[in-house]
Amino acid sequence: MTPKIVKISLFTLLLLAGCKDSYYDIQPRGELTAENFFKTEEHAKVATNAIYNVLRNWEIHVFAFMGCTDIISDDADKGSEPNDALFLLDIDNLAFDAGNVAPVTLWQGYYRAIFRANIAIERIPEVKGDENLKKRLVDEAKFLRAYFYFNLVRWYGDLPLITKQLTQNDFKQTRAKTADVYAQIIADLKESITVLPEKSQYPAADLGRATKGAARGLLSKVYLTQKDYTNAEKYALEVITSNEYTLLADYGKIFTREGENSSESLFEVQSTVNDERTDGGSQFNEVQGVRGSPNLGWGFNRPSDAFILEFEPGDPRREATVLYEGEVLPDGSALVEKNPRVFNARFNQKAWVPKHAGENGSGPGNIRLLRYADVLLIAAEALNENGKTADALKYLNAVRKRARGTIPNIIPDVTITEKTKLREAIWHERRVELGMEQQRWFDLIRTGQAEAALKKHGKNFVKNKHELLPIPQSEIDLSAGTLTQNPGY
Amino acid sequence: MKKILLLFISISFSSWVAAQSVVVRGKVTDGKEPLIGVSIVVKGTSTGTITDFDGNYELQSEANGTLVFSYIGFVAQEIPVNAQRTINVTMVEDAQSLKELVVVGYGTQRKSDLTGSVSSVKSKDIQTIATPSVEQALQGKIAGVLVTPSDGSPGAGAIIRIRGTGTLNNSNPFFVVDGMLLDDIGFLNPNDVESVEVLKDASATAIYGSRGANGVLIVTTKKGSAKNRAQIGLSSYYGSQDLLKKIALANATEYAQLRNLAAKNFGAPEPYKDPAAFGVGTDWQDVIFRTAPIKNLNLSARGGNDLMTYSVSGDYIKQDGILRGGDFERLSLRINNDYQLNRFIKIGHNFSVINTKSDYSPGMLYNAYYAPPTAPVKDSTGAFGNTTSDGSVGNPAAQLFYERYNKGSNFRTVGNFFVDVNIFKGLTYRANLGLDWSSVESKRFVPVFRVTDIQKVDVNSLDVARRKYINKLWENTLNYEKTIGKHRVNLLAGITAQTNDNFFFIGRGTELPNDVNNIGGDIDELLYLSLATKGITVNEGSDNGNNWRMFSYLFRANYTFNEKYLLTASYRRDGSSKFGKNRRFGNFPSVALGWRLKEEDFLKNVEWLSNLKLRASWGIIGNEKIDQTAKSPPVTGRLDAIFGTDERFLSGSTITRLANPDLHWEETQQTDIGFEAGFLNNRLTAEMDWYNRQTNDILTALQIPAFIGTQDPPTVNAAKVLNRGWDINLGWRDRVAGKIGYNVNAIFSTVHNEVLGLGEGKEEIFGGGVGEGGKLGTRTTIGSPIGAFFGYKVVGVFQNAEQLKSLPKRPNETPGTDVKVGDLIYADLDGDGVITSKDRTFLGSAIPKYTFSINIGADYQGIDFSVQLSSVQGNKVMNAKRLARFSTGNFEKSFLEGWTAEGTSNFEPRVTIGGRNYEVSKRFLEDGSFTAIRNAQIGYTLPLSIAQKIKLQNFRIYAAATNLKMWTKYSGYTPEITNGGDSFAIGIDRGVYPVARTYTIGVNATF
Repeated sequence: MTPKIVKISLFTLLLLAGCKDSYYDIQPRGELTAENFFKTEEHAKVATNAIYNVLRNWEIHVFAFMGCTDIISDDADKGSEPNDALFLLDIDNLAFDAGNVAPVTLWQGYYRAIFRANIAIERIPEVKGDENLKKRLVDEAKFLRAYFYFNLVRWYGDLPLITKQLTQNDFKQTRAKTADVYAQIIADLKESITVLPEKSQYPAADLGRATKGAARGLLSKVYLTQKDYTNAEKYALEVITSNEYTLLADYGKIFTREGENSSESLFEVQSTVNDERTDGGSQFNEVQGVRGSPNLGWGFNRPSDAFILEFEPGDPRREATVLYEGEVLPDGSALVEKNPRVFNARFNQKAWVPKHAGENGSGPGNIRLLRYADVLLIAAEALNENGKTADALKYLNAVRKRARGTIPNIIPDVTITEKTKLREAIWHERRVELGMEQQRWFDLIRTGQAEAALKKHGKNFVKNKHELLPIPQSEIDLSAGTLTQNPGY
Repeated sequence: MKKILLLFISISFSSWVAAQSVVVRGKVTDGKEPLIGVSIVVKGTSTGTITDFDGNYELQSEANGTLVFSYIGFVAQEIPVNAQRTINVTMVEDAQSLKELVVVGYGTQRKSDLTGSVSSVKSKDIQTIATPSVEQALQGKIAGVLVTPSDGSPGAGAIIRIRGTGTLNNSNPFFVVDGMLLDDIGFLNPNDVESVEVLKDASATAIYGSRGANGVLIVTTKKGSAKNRAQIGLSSYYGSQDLLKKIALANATEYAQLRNLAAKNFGAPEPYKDPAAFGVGTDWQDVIFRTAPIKNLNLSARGGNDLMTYSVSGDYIKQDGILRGGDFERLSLRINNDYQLNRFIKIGHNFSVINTKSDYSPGMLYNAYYAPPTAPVKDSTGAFGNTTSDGSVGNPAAQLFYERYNKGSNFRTVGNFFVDVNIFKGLTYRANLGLDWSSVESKRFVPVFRVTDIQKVDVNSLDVARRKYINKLWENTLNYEKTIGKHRVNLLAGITAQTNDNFFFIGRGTELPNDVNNIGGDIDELLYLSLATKGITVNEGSDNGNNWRMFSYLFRANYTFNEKYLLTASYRRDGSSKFGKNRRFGNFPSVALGWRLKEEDFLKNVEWLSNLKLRASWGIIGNEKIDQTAKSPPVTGRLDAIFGTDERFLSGSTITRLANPDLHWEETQQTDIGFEAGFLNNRLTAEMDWYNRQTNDILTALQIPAFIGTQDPPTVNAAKVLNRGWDINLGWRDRVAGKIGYNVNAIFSTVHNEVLGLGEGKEEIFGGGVGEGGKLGTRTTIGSPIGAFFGYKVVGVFQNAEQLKSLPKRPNETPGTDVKVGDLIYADLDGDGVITSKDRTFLGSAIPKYTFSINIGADYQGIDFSVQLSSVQGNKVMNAKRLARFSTGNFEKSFLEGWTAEGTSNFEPRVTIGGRNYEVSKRFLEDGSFTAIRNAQIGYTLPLSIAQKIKLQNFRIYAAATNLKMWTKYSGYTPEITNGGDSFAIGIDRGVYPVARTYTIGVNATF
């Protein structure tokens, strides 16, 4: 007998048998998984970048987004060829139901974005690294989460309020009250304000990140939407007095490639394409681009007649916003030719970009989400509501003055002091200043003008129904009865 | 050195001289009749012979030698020669082959003690088929095992389904080769295989725990025998392969006629003035197919003595594809040796090294099917003919020329080393170290070329993939055997560990130097990525890998009482890194009972009954071939964001999916009840099993609300599938007048496959793309078989305007424009007066209702004959290539039977190019049942007396045919369509590489 071999083998057996959990904890090669992610400062950074990444997504800021902000309102029609994307025609005509692609797309896209933000907020504190940087990254994520929820709550009302990664046990969720969603948005933004640097405090390489100013500006808009004019005034004025922002002298420049991240930019989605990489753009430019010749787009989101008529005589903002058939392209490269398959084509000039390496599919234009002019008008509106008429007029007229530029005798200063009239003047100013910037629907709903305005525009707005989009039918089906539908759908 | 050599020679010489050699003659009988083919070997030598047709033998032996007589089913006898010249022997039948051993998991068992369902296939039956694939050679040999060739490409393996399709995911069985645990046996050469044991029920497979659910194939390779000195074997065959059947496609004239008809039906001018002028045109099938050779050469040396046994073999096979431009080559070497170190310790190894090379033919089937026969292969200028006159179809000949460089190679080592220690009588310990190391490379080069606008490449490209797989196994088992009176026990306990490491590198480069001499990738030194001027970018290359580890305990007890009552119980506990944190360990028990009724007093004396055994088993087994990324999904990368005044890309990645810490194996519960019986001295044998196999916890994507926010739904263990059926095996073997031996073996299997659940909230899985416009051909629902065909039922063809007006149509279809007389009438199943997607229904399944095979063998005076008939019945095929008409392509001849006027056809609509008549419907569903002569062989073995004169122990020549004939109604090349084993796409014919018919001649010789 040779007990030695037996001994060795038995010993080996015992060794193997002693294997602990670590024996099974192996990771795929060349790939990170949930288990070995969020270990280093680098992970915290890339996870935050991945939230910004989502801002360029189709589901967030492109097709359905156009549909449920501009096209649904009185500022724009569907555009494109009559039979293209009929679900957007239903949006345009307020004929959509709970199966319509647009609200389904937005719902899915925004919740995926919130998933990324939640992950970052939850897990970044775990990583080893610079505490200040970690705090900043978490608050960038909170700013973005607040932005996502702000759009969602304005579209859908009560919402499942998800603020952490769910496990299988908590897949059943009910809709949180609108007020609770706003409370979460306000909490996230207030925290962001305490931590995030001002735009000027970021190094040049970080241009495009969420800033204190952006958080204040967004918060002022949140309060305005809630009709909390005191706080709306407070945070709008904080932006103004921070001296971080000034209006760009030339209104038309704001929406050119050179006008990206201009002095009046509080927050915009950074996009770019170059010869090496074309995956840094979005389809924002493409879907609104000129359909036909020169062909760089699909021609959706057509500025409406009513919108064009809203402009005061000679207002140069009209020409800066609307691109017509027969008009020379902003870069002078060509004429917009007539497309026989599109009736009376018109395009959103603010989304227009010159020829670029991304061709169709990926446009390099930044998506402007929050401008200083918007904040000034928020301030004006809040101040007027708070009885501070003189200050309100000051900010309103600042916007008009810039629009006027050097052209005499157009867009005179507003001098109305009567509260209601001034309110209407400010609303009018918002419509023309922020036209085709995906603000109109939210303003119509917020100000209660929607029913009158849309009926006037020939749309069958049903009160107590169309203020909110339907919850996607598939969500209600899959929730096994925990989600309810909005009224009227 | 010289001295040693001299010494050696003198010893050999002296022993030669000293040995007194005698010629021994005699007759071997079973007491009544002579026995033919009894093997007689002089013990310890390679000298041997077999008895002739009268039971007579003659051989030379040393006067003091010992003769060993052996014959299957009889007890072997050893008789000392003692200088006798005549030795007549009466062989005694081995009562029911009591001691015949069957290989089971981690050991062998007496066949009589077996309580599980295990079928064996021996080497002789595997080598009848001319194929490089052991899997293909198993086709039609085992009840309950459906073997379907993956396709007909050279070197192709087979899809094996044991007792139905067990899961919606990977349903492939598990393989064990000489104790090494593997997921495939593509490396094995059929000449090396001694036997394949198929473990079907839970009692047999549960010892493999989480890998046993889809059945287990245990392959034992050939070893040397301690009884023989060197046996040198040579076997070789040469075969010619060709296409069994062409698809009936329209010729040029018919094509032009059909085009005219289609144009007329569309309301367009007829494109061809004089179709007859085209004649027959080009038969593109003739362009792409060829008669191709297959050749095999195998050399082996086997033998041994009490101290060691050895088996060394080398095998070379080259198979050219019947589709031009492809071939497969495999060189394999194997060394299986055992060394008895002392009375207690034996070490050994089974080791093989394999090198395969494949040249993949470009996928020309699609183009050959659709290319217009009016186009020439090459035009008058010598350029490739333009096949795009009517639509966007490429020229298959040009494809063959320009896209011919697509090669793969594999260098693989598979083997195991073991130590057996006999600790004391009955108790043995085995340590087994297994290794499977393979290194795979593939390269594909596409040059710049231009045939037509749709068949061109502007930028050349090179794809390189290198993969490395390292699979290591470390097993320690103890085996204890003891007989006390009427009790016999066999106990097994073991601990095993296995690790698997895979590495993948994939690179793609473009804009390599253009070289007119390198169109077909002929200049090897130009085919390296470093020469690419663009690419290998992050989007086009990857370098990663995955791995898993498993650790297991296993136990088994066999207990036999009084040779009558049998009990087997086994248990395995598997821990695997593939499983989520919360479900790391799986337990797999089984229990089985057997009752050998024949041993009972009331049957003992029943003459005609030679064996009767009842058995029943139950067990839980698992399938761990699951997507292990689901337990902890990879972080999603390339979610970059742009920042900074200089618009830089900053890397972004994050978690976008939910982890599932509860992810675990798919779990199958199987019950098996069966019996084995033998009659008339076991001339007639029968084996019959009923099984019920339910797989629970099948991995499926959970349908969850979108507000949860995951990119993909999490994968959970939720679906359920049932397979239930019968396996029946009947055998008859006899010898007429002692001269003509023959045997007939028939197998019959049924499977009822049914999905019992798809997880909460999920009602259906659509699958099986038919190849056009994202249309799907199958829908799997609760109550249906997996991958059931789903589409419209066809009632007939609109014969006249009245029918067109009154019968249901699709909404928005205006009669006379969108739908016309001659179009299909779809059945309005929901009775709402219109045809909508709700009117689609189940059309049939690709899973056969039953399969059977008959294997017949006979021999007479050295001539042997065998034939195998296989039949698969009740399966349907979706002829997707007939359905998919992206653009105008050629037609099958059956289009000529299309409706032209009232009463002309009520099943084939008027000829159109696309549109409403091309929905997934019964129109494209065909009967896939077939009966085939899988193999027929005739051989002649040289009489021993002659063979020995030319120093041969055995010499046989044969002629054979594989896939000689197939009877089927299916119009395509073959109804055997696996689509790589995708359970949702089986039976969807998108253009499958047909399995060839092969005629071979071969020789087997032993020196």
